[in-house]
Amino acid sequence: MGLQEKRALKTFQDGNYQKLTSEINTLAGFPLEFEVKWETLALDEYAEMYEECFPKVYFTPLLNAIKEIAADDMGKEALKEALKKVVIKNEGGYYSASSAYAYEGGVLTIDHQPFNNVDNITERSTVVGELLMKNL
Amino acid sequence: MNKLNTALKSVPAIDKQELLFYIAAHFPDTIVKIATDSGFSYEGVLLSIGKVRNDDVVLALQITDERKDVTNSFVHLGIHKITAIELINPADLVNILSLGKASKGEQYEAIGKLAVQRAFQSFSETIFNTHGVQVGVPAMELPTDGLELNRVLKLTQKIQQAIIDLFKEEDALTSWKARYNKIVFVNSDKLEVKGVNDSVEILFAFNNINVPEVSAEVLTQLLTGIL
Repeated sequence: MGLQEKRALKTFQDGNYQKLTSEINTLAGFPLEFEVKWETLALDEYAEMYEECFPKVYFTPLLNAIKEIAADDMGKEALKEALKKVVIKNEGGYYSASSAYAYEGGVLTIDHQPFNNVDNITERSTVVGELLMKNL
Repeated sequence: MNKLNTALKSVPAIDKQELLFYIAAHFPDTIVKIATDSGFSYEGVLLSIGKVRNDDVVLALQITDERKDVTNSFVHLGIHKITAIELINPADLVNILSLGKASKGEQYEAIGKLAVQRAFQSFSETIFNTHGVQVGVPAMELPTDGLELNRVLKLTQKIQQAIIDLFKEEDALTSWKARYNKIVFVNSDKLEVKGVNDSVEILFAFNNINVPEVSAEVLTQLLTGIL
């Protein structure tokens, strides 16, 4: 990772990442643990796209799903019971919503390429929402 | 396939004639392969099954070709000559082999408990919004299996509709309102409806995905019985 990528990543981590995770936690009604494997996301030569793509690929779909699930107290309670941690990474080379999400033992894993199908937010929101609902 | 195998285990034994009659009447497009004691076998669709003077039962079969299209060839066979009947890609095997007493019925998709809990809440609210009767949120010990949960959800919607229809009768509505304000779903092999103090208890195979779903008509009769 070059200096340009390091700077862009730091900007994202200190800004948008804080804002998005805080928003997700507020919607959920409890603090979720996030584990982001930054080194797999921050690909070389894409530094200028981190700010746009990371939220669209990883965070907005999750936020949309949680907003829908936690719309009532029943949903908030179920979510709190079933979802403990979110792992975000780019290891499996997945670029479609159907392959990107996995849930096991309270851990939601999002494994998606950071710069592919970026604007496919609606489908990712639906898939992650359905996956969570199945496990709540 | 496991689900189908489980369903088939509950299918009663039937004889060849009953089976052929049922296929001809209800699934006339089903292609059957019929083997005879002469060693020949014939593949086609059943046209008719009838008795002849010597009391034998015969069937007429229109032969199909290798592309499963019917041809202009026909076979006339005595039932007693048949040694085996093979069903080729039947539409609803369980229904055919049980002569309509069972069916592959509803297909279930795995869901979580939250969806069922929301359906329970909606059950109570919808009935209240439609008829102004507080029937309560169904109480039930939920299964953990996702398919079973989906069955509970679908049954909840059916019960909800049955109650909404029942309350269109003013006397039923008044009687329920005066007696009950809670509802309980209990998993049981047998369908029963009981009035216990201020609760309506509905006992049914909520968790058994292989049992046909409750008939609205029968449920309505049983509900009427406790009013």
